Amino acid sequence: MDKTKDRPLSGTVGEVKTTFIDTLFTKNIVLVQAIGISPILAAGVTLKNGVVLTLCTAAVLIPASLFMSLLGERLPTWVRAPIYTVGAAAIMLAAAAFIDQIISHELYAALYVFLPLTAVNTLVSYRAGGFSMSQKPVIALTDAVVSSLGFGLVICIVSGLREIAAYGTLWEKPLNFSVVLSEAALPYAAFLLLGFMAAFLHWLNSVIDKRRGGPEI
Amino acid sequence: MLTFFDYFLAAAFLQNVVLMTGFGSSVLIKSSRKRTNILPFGALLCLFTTLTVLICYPLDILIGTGVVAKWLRPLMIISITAVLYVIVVITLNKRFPSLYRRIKRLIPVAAFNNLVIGIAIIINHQFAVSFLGAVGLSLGTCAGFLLLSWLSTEGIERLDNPDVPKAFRGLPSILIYLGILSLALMGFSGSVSILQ
Repeated sequence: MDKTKDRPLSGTVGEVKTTFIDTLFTKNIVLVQAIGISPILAAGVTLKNGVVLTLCTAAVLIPASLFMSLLGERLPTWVRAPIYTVGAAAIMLAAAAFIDQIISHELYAALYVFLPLTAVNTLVSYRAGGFSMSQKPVIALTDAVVSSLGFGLVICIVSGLREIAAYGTLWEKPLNFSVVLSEAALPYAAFLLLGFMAAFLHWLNSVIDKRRGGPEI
Repeated sequence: MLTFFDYFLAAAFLQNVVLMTGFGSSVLIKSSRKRTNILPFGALLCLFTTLTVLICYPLDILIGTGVVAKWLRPLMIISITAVLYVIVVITLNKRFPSLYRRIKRLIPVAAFNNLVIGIAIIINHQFAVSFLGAVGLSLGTCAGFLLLSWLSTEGIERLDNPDVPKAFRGLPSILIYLGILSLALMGFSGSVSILQ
C-alpha cells in the first residue's frame, strides 16, 4: 500500500498546533519524557556547546523523522534502526567536518566525543523510530522541529546556567563574578538542575490544568 | 599502567561511567522502569559494548590519526555496531526464536545508544588505553550500568510515595536521586575521571 497517497503532505492546523504545544511545553521531550538527557549532562557545560548540539540534533532528527514517516512502514521492523542510525551518523560526519574546517577547530575538539553521539541520541530513536512511523509527514516534520526546539530550550538553559556558575562567563564573555563553582560543570549538577526544572514544569502543568478545570497531577 | 581489573573496577564502581559522564542516562531511566527488563537489557548492552570495542580497537590503529580519519571514526564505530546488530538479530531469530520474540523490542535500544558508541569513541580517542584495559572498561561500564539500573529501580519504587511533594513525583525525583548518587560517588572518588 502506498502510504504517501494516504498521508499527503498536509495536516490539519489543529493537529500541528497540538503537536507543537505538547512537544515543546506540556510533554517536553526532556523534562517530561526523559529523552535526550545524556548530551545535556555530558556536554551541556557552555551555551555555545548547547546551541551547536541543538543545531546538530535538528540536522539529524528532521531528515530521519521525514524519512521514517514516508518510508518507515515499507521497511522490515528490524532494519529500521540501523538504517536511520547510520544515515544520522553520515549527517554527523558532514557536520563534524563543517564545524572543524569552517567554524572553529577548538569547538570541534571540545565536542569531538559528543557530536557523533547525536546520531544515537534517544531523541532520534524514540521520535524518528517511534512517533514518526505512524504519522503524516507534516506531523512528523512538526514533531521533529519542535522536539529539537524543546531539547534546545532545555540544553541552552542548563548549559547557560552551568557556564555562568562554573566559569563565570556566558557565550565565553566574562561576567566578572567573584565566585565560580567549577563543580557545576560535572554531571551531578545537571542531574539536579534537570530534576528541579522537571518539577517546575510538572507544577506549571498542574496549575494550568487546574485553571482549565482538568485533572490535577 | 592500568590493567583490566583497574579499568573494570573504576568504570563499574569507583567512577561509574553513567554517573560520571551521563552516557546512557536516558536509556537507564527508561529501562529501570520495568524490573524484568534489567537483566536482558544489561546482557544485550554488554554484548554490543564489548563486541564493538573488540572490533574497533584494532581497526582504529589501522585507520591512523589523520584529520579525515578522525571524522570517519564515529561513522566506522556506528557502522560496526549496525553490522553487529544485524548479526545478533538474525542469529537470535534463527537459533532462539522464542527468546528473540521476548526481547526484540530491547535489541535496537541496547545496540544504538550513547553508552555503546560513547565508550568505543572514548577508548578510540585515547590511544593510552591498552587492549585489556579497553575490554575491562567496556565490561566494567556494563556492570556499572546493571548496578545503577537496580539502584534506580529500587529508588523509583521507594520514590513513588505520597510523602514526596506532587511536583517532584516521577521523573523529577529520579533525576534528583541520580544527581545525589553522582555527587556521592564524586565525593568518594574525586572529580578526576579515568575517562577524561
